Amino acid sequence: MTKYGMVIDLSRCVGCQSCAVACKEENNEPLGIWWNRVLTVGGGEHIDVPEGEYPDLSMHYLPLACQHCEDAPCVKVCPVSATYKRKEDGVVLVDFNRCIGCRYCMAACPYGVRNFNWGEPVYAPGVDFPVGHQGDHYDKYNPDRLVYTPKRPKGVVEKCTFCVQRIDNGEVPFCVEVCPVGARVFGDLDDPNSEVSSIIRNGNAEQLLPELGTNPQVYYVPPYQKKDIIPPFANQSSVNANESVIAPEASILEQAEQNGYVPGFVLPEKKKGD
Amino acid sequence: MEKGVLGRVDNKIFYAIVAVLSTIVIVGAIAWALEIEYGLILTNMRNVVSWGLYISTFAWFVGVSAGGLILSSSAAVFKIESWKPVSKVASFVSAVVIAAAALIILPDLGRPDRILNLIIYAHLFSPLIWDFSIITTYFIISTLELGLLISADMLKKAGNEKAAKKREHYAVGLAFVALPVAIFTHSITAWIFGLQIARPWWNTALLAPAFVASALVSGLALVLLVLQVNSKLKLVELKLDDKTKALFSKLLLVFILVDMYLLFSEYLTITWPGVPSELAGLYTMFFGPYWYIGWGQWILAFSAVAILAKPGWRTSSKAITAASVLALIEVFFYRLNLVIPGFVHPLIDYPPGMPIGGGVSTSYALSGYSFQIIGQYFPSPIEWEITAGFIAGVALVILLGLKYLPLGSSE
Repeated sequence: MTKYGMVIDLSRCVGCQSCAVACKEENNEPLGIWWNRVLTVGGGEHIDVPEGEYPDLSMHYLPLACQHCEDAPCVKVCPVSATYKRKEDGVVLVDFNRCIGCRYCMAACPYGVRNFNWGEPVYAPGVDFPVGHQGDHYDKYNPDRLVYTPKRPKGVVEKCTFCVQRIDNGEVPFCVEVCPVGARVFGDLDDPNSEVSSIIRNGNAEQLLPELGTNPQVYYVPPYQKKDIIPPFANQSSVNANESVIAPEASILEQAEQNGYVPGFVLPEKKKGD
Repeated sequence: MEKGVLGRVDNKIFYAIVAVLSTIVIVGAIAWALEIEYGLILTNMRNVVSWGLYISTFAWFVGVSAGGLILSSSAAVFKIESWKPVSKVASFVSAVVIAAAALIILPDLGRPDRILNLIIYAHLFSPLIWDFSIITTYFIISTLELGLLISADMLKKAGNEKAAKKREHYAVGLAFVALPVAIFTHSITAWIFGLQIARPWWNTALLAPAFVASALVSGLALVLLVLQVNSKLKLVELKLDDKTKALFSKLLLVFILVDMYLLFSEYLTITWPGVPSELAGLYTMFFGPYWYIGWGQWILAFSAVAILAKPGWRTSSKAITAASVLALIEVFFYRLNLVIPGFVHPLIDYPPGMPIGGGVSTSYALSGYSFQIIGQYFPSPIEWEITAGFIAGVALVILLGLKYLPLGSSE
């Protein structure tokens, strides 16, 4: 059996928002709808604002879309099974033709990734044609289910589908394809030889809000932070801000590994000029 | 059969009230037509606070409908003779309000035209389907109960004592079913919210008991209010002695106290450990933008208690009217305090926050308000109008029912 999943490496993510914009384009999302967002985990109410005071700053990004949970609360609450989990590959989809717009799924989703069409979709001025995928897409395995349409009706809920119109044709989700730093890996969680499986098996990938037991099929490799790699120096108050507190390159790798960091997939390149 | 005992002056007041209520209903209907045409964009609900005034009112109506059925079936099950004179009025009020509860879901739906999907594609795991089923059952039972009581009366008047006894017997049998159905109706409505792990403010085992308790408060309050209005307008003759009146007042007092106790226990359980995600809802309730609703609920509850605590006032119609109006508004505030703060702080609240959703205008989407980290919500005029229309509609149907249906005390 196939179980599609995704691993997102937060230490690679540079917060460029390409995936969010690519998603919006491919899926023709109207104004006000974002299936995929890149959040800033920092210190402010705005994106790209770090936490702390110079030089002790920290910030990372959290790309967020549907987690395609194995035990999805939205699927459990939907009174008409418009939201359903495709048993063939574990993707959570919404049937645009069946949704009654009660929004119970939005109340149930812990990740806040669902969007409602409060009115007729509105696009940027002059855009009266689909900019991304053209035409409707019906579920490959359940052909009566309209799971993607560029012209969504008002009054229904929608969300990330792992680009169902692409994966049904053997392609990867568009966010995976466009990510300029290769932070996203898509594949079959049930296949032990897949790249996603091997990253998760190496033990450094986490799920979001795991305590809720939703068991997401999207995993995150934690961000690489200064404090992770230089514990002996980070807390020395005598260190001058102008002095380099970062150890030589070889030692960064070693220390990172000692801290449980998985090399190969996640290590960022050291910034020049440090 | 009792006829209304309206005098000329009362008639004028009655028709004036009917006219005012009808106007509100018509305004609500127009607002609803607009909402159907343009979509829920005319409400102020958005992706973060995605349920608002309609769902709060729905939960309130469900609770308010409790009193009638519980009162009339308790009278039958526990053989409380002194309550029986109001059994019919109570069942009638129940049926009207539960119907309103079911109907106010419609303006909240994005696709009311697909309502039959609830039957065609019913997903039995969903608490919404449980609620849909139990509310339908509840409506059927309260209508049946009312029908049996009225027809028993009619048979008795026609001199057919035997057939009347049989109907009364059925009514008692039905009451045995009605009581647990009523308890489950309120519990299941609570579980719609209480089972959700995404909303710590709702996710408490105490929610169902608190819903039953608050349902008893608002339900009894509505029956008492209806009785007061009825005696003021002299619509139906009801034989209710002062002793029973005092008992109802005392019951209302006890229900309010039990409800307050349950809620206090909930607040303490949240506050003492101080888990931030749990505190968020409580904080929003008392110190958020809706603080006046948060504190208002408690001020209203205490005021009602203060009125009912005075034994001499428990039979005074002014005091009963005041206490029941306060109790009804208190429970309405409780529903608002439950539903809305549950949404205000999403579990993942990093910038830029959640998008507001589709259908927004270009200028709005390009403004700084197209994402929300903390949910913003205040009902729009359309929401107020539709909700007011429903409440006025309930009042109107109850008034007309009192006037034209044979709901008076038998014998």
